[in-house]
Amino acid sequence: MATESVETDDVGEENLQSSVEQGYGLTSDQIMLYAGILLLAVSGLVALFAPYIAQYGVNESNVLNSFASPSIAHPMGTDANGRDILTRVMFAYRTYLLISIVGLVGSFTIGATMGLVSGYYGGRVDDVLMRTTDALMAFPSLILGLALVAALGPSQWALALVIVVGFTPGFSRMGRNTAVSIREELYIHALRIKGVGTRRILFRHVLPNASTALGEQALLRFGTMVIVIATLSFLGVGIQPPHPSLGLMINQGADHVQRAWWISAFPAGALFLLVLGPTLVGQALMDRYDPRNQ
Amino acid sequence: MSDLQINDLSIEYDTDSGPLQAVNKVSLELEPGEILGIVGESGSGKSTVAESIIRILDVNGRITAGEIEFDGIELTGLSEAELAETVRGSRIGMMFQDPHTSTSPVNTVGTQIADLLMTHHDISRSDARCRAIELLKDVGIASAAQRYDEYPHSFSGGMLQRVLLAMAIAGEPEVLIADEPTTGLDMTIQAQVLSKLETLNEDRNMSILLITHDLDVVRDICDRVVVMYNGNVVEAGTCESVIDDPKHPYTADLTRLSLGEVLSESTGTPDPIKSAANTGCPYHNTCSEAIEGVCNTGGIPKLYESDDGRPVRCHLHDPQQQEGKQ
Amino acid sequence: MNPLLELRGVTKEFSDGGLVERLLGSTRSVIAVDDVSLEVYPGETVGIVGESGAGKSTLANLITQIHEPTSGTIVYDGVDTEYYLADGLKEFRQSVQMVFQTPSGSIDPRYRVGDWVEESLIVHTDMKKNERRERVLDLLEDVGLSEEYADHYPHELSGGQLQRVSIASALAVEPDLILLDEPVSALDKSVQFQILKLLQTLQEERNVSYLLISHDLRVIRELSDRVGVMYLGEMVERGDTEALFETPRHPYTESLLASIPPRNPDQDRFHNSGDPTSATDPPSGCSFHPRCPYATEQCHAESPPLEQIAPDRSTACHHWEEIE
Repeated sequence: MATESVETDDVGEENLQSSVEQGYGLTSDQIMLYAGILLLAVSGLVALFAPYIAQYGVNESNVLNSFASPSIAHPMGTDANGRDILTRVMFAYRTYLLISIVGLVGSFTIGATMGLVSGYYGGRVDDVLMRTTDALMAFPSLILGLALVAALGPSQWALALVIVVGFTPGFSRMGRNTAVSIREELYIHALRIKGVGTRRILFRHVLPNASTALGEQALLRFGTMVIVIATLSFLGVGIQPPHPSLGLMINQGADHVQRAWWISAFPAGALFLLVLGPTLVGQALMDRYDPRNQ
Repeated sequence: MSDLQINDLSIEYDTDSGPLQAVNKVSLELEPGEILGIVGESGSGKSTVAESIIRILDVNGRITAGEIEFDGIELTGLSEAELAETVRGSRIGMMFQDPHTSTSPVNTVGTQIADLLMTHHDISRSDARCRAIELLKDVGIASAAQRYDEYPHSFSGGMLQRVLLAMAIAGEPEVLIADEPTTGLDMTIQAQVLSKLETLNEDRNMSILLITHDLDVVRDICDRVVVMYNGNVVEAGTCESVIDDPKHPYTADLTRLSLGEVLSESTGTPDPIKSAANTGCPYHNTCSEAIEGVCNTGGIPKLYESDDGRPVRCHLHDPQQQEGKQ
Repeated sequence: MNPLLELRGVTKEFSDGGLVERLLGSTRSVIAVDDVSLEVYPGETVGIVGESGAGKSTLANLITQIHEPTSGTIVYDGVDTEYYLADGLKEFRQSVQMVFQTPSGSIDPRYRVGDWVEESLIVHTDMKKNERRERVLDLLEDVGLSEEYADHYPHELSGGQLQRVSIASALAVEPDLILLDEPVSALDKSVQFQILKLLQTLQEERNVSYLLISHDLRVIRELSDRVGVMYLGEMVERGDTEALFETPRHPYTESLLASIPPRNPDQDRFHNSGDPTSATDPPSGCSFHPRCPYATEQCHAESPPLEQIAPDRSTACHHWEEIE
């Protein structure tokens, strides 16, 4: 594509107008974005209000009604102990979201900050940090997770710690790479020439510019964190019974797939939707800010 | 030697906010052996016109009206295969603006030229190699035999621009389209490229369509010039007449810096930045001679005729407007 | 009158490799700026013209204290710049500002342009928010942008408008010297003229000095009172602009002038085929001699120093008298 490297005053005027006008119809990015936001919102609301909207208790078992297929009374059916699956799914959302959010905030804050600062300053500090993250990332994360859980005993906090330890190196590397590329930007050089101090440059210029890219990555990683929790639970080392866990429910339902498919299917579907939400939003943001689309 | 004629060509791009008119009823003629300049700035549509000739527009661009006639053949009517085999490269060659993105970084410069030679002529690889080295010498690259085996990254911008030129003329075309061949180059290198183009035009009688935003370059080697603004032709004629005696206010504005007019003679404070919506002549906001009530309404002006018989797209040259003044 | 900025025999050499490589002699070095001297007086514009490899960007970086000279001194406002680096950098930064080549790249894309202009006010003054705001709007008006532009983002403005914003932000803290690094190269021709006009007007109003760096002689001629011509890191000619353009006294200057389109047919005398020689492997003697039609044995052997040949002219050429 032949591009013209010079600019004209006409362009500015058109751009002022187009930021006011909206196009008709939705682009695929917009659909992804809204769908993702919707899913996230629904998941969040469900998790938040679970205690109020659930019709049954989490562990309210009615053995007489076990393996009941989906009905109006039990939209997702009941499990081997006659517990309402819908209720358990809702409370599982609660737990998963809580752990993931804690894990995300922890790993992102620690990792991205370390990475950004180290990337901007460069030098020795940067070298040391990068070697450390390389080492951590070389270690298979699932094994690391299992080891930590074995050491601390399965609990919600152990899981949150697993997430933090597992994802911090990745964010730190991302933060560092972003800082390195922003550091080279002409406007950062311009700020130095203006006499703006390093701290101000970092917080008011590097960080905001990094945040979009990092934010998208954070959302995408969020989905992965949920899957990690589900996997560990599926393996039996995550959320322990009788607390409801999507992973564990999928596991338990595996034995009854033919007779009572709903015991695995609904939790699996719920897990899928929980992961899909943030992933769609993250992907849509990435596409929107993709320089190719400018 | 053949004529290239463009008649009332209009091109649109499909964008997210609807169709964008990039080129609006543009007509021009490149006569055999002449150098025609198309001068304009970004958004003028000049590159789009050039790209449409050999059909290399962006995917979302479409010719919506008009004809492109070359040697009596209607190019828009040819199929992609016919165009590729019979015209592109062999009869009409093109060199692009940015040499680094127009060459393959993973092949040697020599191979890239030789490949083109073998595509257009039925010769062996060793013959192609010889001819390629000749071509490199032709375009002024020293130690051509050695440089044949080098990769684009070891060439400077100016050198690579010559390689592009070599590639464009490998097929020995009758017409060369040169899109901003001197932009971004150092002035001394620019001068060399222009010399080379001139020599090729003289020696091979190759017509050149030179696209540029620099009026000085046009004045240097072009015979005739077409000035474009905002997708329209606003003025056309021989270089002397257009540059020495511009009829359209935009052309006049373009010539001001070129002629190096002393700034103290200029017209006062900087032009205010326009922010109002634009109806009427696309240039009226910047134009120092715009007529209230005429230039800011009504749409794009027609192509009138100036007093020396040249086309000018400006209300100032509307005979009725001029009568009204008397 | 004392000069505002003075460079005395400034040289900057870059070499790769650390101590070990240096001991082994396996470093490559580039002398990006070679023994350059120049002065800029209050209120004047000094142009630096040169092509790629001339050392213009390094020169700019040296003046703005991004690099330190390998040898020579830089004196600003009577004070050696070493002092500023040690103790008074902020003071220096308030007095020396810069406008860059790429308008869109030199402004933080996430900042509204009004806020961008405000940055240096926040850093260098004690003004309150509303005072700063007023000053920003005044500055924007001074560069020809109406109030409404302040709240827009860079991507909503054109190149010419953005460059006006950069100029406004450079003027915000009332500097004494502004470095203009190819200020109009990235803009369309018609806009170039407007921006140059603007710069001239602002200079007249505020008596600020400009150091204008450009490869385009036409731009240099519009604004500069005096000009320095650089080639491969050296200052090869220096003097009053009009006189220099009229009667160049260095072959390189002559070739530059001849290459402005429409080209002078004389241009071909300069053996300009091939790349300008590289800075990592400069020719012996006079660095321009391989391309020079006036070159002799002497030129091959001896590098000519920059010498004053008239009250208002210096040149570094053995045969300057032969140039008509």
